[in-house]
Amino acid sequence: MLRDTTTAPPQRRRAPLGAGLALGLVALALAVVASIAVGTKGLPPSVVLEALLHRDPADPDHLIVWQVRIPRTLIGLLAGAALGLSGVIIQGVTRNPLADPGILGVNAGASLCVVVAISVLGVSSMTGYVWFAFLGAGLAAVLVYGIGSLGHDRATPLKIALTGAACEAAFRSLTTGILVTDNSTFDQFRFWQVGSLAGRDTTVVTQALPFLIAGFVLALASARILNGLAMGDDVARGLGQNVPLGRALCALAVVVLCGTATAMAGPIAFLGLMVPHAARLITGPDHRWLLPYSMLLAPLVLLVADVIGRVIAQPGEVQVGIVTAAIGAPVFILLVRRKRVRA
Amino acid sequence: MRHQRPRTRGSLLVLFLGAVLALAGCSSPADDAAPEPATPVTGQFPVTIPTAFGDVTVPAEPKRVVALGWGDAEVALTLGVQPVGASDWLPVGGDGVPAWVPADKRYTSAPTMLGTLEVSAEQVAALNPDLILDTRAAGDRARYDQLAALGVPVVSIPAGGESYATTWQQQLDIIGKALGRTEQAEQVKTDLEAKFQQTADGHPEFAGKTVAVGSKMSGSYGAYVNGDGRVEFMERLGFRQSPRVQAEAGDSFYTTVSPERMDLYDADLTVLTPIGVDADEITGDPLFQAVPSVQAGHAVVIDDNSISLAFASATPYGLSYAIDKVVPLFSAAMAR
Amino acid sequence: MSDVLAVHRHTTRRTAVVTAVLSVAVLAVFLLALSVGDFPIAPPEVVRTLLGGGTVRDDYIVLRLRLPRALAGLFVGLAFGLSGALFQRLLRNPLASPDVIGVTAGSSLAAVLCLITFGVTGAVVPAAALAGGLATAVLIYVLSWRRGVTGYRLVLVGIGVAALAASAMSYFLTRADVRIAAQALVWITGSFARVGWTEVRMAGLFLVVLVPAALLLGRTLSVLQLGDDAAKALGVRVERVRLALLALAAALCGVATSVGGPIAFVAFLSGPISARVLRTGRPGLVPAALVGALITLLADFAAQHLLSGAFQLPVGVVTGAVGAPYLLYLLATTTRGAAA
Repeated sequence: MLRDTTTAPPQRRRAPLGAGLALGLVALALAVVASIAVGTKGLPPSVVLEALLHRDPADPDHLIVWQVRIPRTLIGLLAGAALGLSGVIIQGVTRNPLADPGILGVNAGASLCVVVAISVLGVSSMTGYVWFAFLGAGLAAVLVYGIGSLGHDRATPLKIALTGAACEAAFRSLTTGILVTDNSTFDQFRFWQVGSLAGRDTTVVTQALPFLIAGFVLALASARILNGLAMGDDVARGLGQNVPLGRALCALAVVVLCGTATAMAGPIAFLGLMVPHAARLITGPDHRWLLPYSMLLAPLVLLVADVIGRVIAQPGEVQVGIVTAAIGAPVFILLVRRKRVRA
Repeated sequence: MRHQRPRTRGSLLVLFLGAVLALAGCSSPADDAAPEPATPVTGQFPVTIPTAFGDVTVPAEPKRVVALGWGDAEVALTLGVQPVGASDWLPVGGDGVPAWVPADKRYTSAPTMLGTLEVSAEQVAALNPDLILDTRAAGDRARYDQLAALGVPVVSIPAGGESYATTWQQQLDIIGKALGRTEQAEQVKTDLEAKFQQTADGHPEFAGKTVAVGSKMSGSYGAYVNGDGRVEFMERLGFRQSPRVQAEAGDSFYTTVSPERMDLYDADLTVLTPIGVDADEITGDPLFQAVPSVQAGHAVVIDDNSISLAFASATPYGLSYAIDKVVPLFSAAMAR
Repeated sequence: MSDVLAVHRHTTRRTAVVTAVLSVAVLAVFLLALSVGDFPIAPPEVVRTLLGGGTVRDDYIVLRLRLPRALAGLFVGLAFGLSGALFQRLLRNPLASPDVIGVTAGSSLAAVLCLITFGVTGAVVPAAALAGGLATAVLIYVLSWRRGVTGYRLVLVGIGVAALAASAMSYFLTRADVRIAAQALVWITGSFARVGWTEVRMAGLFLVVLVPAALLLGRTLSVLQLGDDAAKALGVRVERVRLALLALAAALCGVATSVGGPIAFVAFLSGPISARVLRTGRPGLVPAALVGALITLLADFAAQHLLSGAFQLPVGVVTGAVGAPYLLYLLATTTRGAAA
């Protein structure tokens, strides 16, 4: 008897994936709780609860919860989601598994702009950095996409990837040039460039929120386009998609999301590269599932990394950018070894 | 099939022709006039100085000194010798002399400014030096070898020294010997030590009090430990390092402090320097304001950049300037 | 058939022309590096000093300072260019240069450990860098071995290792005294300011062995490009050859790093630039090596003379600034959608 296999598999697939998403939400919620409850100063849960419910502005412990832990949890959630989404999109647009959101020159452009701001304009506050990081990210992306689109064959994935990497090379060279000749700028910058959730307050979040919302909407809506692009430009065109426009919109989403994340937390490397690979092992290549999964998985990793960073180097902390790579890389390598990796 | 002319050939030619043309006039003439030495020679020549790379002998009074290390040029000026080439580490700009150096010790003929981390050996050679000072530096063997091949005595960090850890006393001694100004060096040392002692005696309210010295860089706080220059400065004024801060010390001179552990800054006096951030990033931080010593008013946030530079310079004039500037601040804070 | 032959002849002729032009350019910049500087020395005197008849001053300048530095630029550029092209062709991804897949990151980490954690400078640092690079290459290979090594898995594992090394380096850079961290930064970026004859001689010896081996074995690359099965059918022992080429590429990278540090971007840029200049879509090995040498020599020249004397740039800062715009220009103007 022939089994009807045309309808069964998608339904069987969708249920576990839906359940997985719910599980991911629960895990994320736990991570949020951990981020608020755990820190360099061990606060008993009763104190934390009291701080959340009956805030006393004069109590230094309550201050820690509201000034330190809640802002960084928020930033971790938002920046993580942004990086996870932009990672999926950039890998889909460039059809290159080595691409991370920084490949559009976004991180390097943001860094260059921040360094110039510190060195030439004397900017020295976190909120000041935010705007320059935005500016740099945007300009870099325009440059990369613009140059990548020149020439007869317009913006093929390969050209974009190469152009982005070349621009990244140029920006990083200029940045290092300034850092090597200006010691005081280096002193400031070497902390920013590692990527950290600490030392930022909620004004950073409120500045970034409109961009993030726009980016999230754009990103989740691009699932269809990405599925089409994954099958090749010709197939996508055959399906009725406007390939250049689709690609441009995706690139815009990446720039907005990655640029905002970098502006908020500094350039956090590797997250946007690693999380899509991990998510793909669960969901397969369908972007309609891949995007939400990445959106959950990335902040989960980021918050866990941040909590670990608070605990291992007391009374100091290890910045989240360092921990993310330190724990993410072995996990990533393990994943790559275990499963059959697909493009 | 038409053979397209390779465009790359043209662009490569243009590239290196352009390079040749652009750099045709790129040579700086060697400065031939040696500046007049302002102070008499009180040391002996030849003198042998032990360094990390072996003993170095300076055969005669040096007339053309190149000062590459951190603070070397300023110390040379303090002893009355004007280098012909100097590195600007702080950086100050211009001729590299900070504002606290008195007018009679400044350059009468400007030196050639040289690199800091990376120094062009050709530029050094072009100055025709007879002594190279590199007493507070990384202690990089390769750099020493390259400069020593010039045939000029190169005085590096002292034997057993570490990168940039040369103390102001060591620097003064070594440079005094190398320049043959040992008496002047002794005088400067005695004067500064006396100044420290006088200040400590004049402020009995400092004696035995604990102090926590820290800084804020973009986004992160830290504290100085293990006898860092700033801690030593405070101890000479009569304070003692906060034991709670010292307990957290690792191997280095600096330890990071999480914003949740600002309680570590609590001591009889809290001193914080903003590095690369505005002072209100510290004073406006509610977590800083919650520290008990800050609430009691026994806290100083040093927002005058020249004071931070003075601390960083760790030269006799710099430290003297720092004493003048910070002691009133400390006094006022202790009195509140 | 005659069209195919015509294309082949055209490609070979173009390759020969480009190689010749690149060689002349490299030589020209080399001589330029020897004669231009704070002491301008005219080319005839340069030649005389090289042959042993120069003044004492010229001897120091040319033989002790400029010649080792120019040779370092030449050797490092050749090695990185070759190494980058090999990696990119073997792994079939132009983004897969040793900078990205972790080999140079391992070298940098070893050097940073020396400089910051152990406080050691001098000849130990290049040796540590060489050892670090090779150890990292071995680690990446071992970690990606699972009944054989696919290029895809190798690259991904390499990226993971690179991220790990980078995070360790960031940790050290934020913990150290700012001046020591700045010193480490200069080393990570790559600098020829303090090269002496020991490093250059050592590198030269290694390269005399490695470069011909790589070029010879590299002839099989075009066969490998046909795919594993086709290559096996043509009698090529795919796994062995690939392993040998990867080992050679990693060794070249390690030797190049040991001279002046991991000069950023040369390995990445040389392949794509030569691919577009040749208009074949695949980086030829010899042209890529020459492009690497040209970029490095030009960059070092600019690094020394671009800004005023008080601001000496390390060469690694300029390579990106020199090479990347040229690659961008090529990307923007070539009409052929090169597949490499």
